[in-house]
Amino acid sequence: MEPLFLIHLCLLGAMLAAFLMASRMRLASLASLYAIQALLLSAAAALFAIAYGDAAAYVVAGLTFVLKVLLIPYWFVRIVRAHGSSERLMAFVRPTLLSFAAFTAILFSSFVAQSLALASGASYVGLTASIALILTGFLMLMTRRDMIGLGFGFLVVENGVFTLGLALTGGLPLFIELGVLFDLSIFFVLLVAFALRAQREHASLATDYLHELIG
Amino acid sequence: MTAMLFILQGSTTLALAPLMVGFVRFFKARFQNRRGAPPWLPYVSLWSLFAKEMTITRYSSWVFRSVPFVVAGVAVLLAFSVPTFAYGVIPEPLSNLFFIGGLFALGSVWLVLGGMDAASTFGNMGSSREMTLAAFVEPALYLGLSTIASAAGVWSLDGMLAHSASTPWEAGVLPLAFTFGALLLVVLAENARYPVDNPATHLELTMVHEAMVLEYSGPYLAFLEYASAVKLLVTTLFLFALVLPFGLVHAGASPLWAVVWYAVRFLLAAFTVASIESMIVKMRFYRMQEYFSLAFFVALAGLALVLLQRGIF
Repeated sequence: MEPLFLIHLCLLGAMLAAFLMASRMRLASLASLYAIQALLLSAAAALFAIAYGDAAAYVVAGLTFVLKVLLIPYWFVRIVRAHGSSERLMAFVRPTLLSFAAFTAILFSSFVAQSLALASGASYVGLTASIALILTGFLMLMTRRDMIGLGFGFLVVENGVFTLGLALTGGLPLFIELGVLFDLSIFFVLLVAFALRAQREHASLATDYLHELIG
Repeated sequence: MTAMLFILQGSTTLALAPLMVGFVRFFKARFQNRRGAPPWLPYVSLWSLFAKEMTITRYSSWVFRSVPFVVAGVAVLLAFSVPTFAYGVIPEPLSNLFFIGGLFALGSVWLVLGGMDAASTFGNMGSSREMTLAAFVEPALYLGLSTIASAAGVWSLDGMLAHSASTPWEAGVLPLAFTFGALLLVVLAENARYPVDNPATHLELTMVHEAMVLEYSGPYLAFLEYASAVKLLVTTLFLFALVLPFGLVHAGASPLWAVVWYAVRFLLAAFTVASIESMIVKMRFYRMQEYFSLAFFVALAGLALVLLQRGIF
């Protein structure tokens, strides 16, 4: 079995997870889909490390696994439950429209990736998956109305950038990856602090209450 | 030889259909920490239904009486025309995917007519819901099957199994994964299972399939229950034969492996349905369009992948 084929399989699986995430409206299913996506991405990084004997990629795969598969989904669900926020998420449009938009984004990214792959010589599948992840993440950022959905949108965009690094250069340098993971954990802490504050003030995580200036 | 296999496949399906329902209920009971009835209980209950007398309202017409025969006839035809463990045995027109889709539609339309004929409110409610669902099911069903059809280059379910058995897994895994996801959602809906319908209750808010057969009793009810058992068996076993095409019977295959793999797929199918039913709750009826549009788009993504692999884009 070619390792490249398995890597592509993992990346396309992550793309499918992003497609499903775009229309999920429950916290638990969003968190578990995110964990699956991160698991597939860290598997792709680990396969890359095995195939090309890259020691740094092992570290990246392991850290990705710990942070994105275990910690972030677990803490997200736990914090929301502990503070009694609603687990039913909100969006500006209906889930059916979100499925359609995510599908269109994936199709669009497959077209874009075709010409990019010709121009850069990078892998077509990797480019498709990464552009699709970034676009789907942006779609979630545009359409979600609560901080949980927006937070997961950011996380999907970040996964897309990770995939892009993997597809273009075979993984970004170790220090950059470490920095990104560190940023990610800071982002998560800030999001939680902000969300808890909003929950205390408005008894909801919806961003609708944040339009007016107080004071 | 081919004719014998054809008859063997159909009659195995007809003989084992109640066992599949029994195993689904058995696994479900185990999930709920109950001991559960033995898996062969549906045979006994079908037998006792045949021994009971029927009560039919005098305000019903011939439609009401013809429904069990049409639905059971459709089920027998399905048993012979959907491949479950062999390929290369069913004549192409008989297992054409549009013919199969038409058979499903025929069965559900007659069931709807039977539900409406007795003019009870329950029957009409269930019929209305069933028709709504039937309209949602079809796009995802046809698109999912067409994905495999365009990968295999044939329109028959039999040819799709042959294609799935002969291609190396890395060539087929991607479109098949999408199609499996979409068709699993369709199969759950088609067989009146969670999250579309609740097969265990008689509560008016949840019923779809049960509401339509509520007026039937005795042997007619046995016909209808048997027909839905056959439908469950052929749809799930075809789906699992597609993704686990091992030990499928064709010319020159070992019969021992065929039996072992048939049993594995049978139990796996029952277990999958039971575990899905135990893990998720029923969806609100007005959210059904989300469920089916998801199935549709997943199937569409599979079709796009097949076309991409063939370089049409």
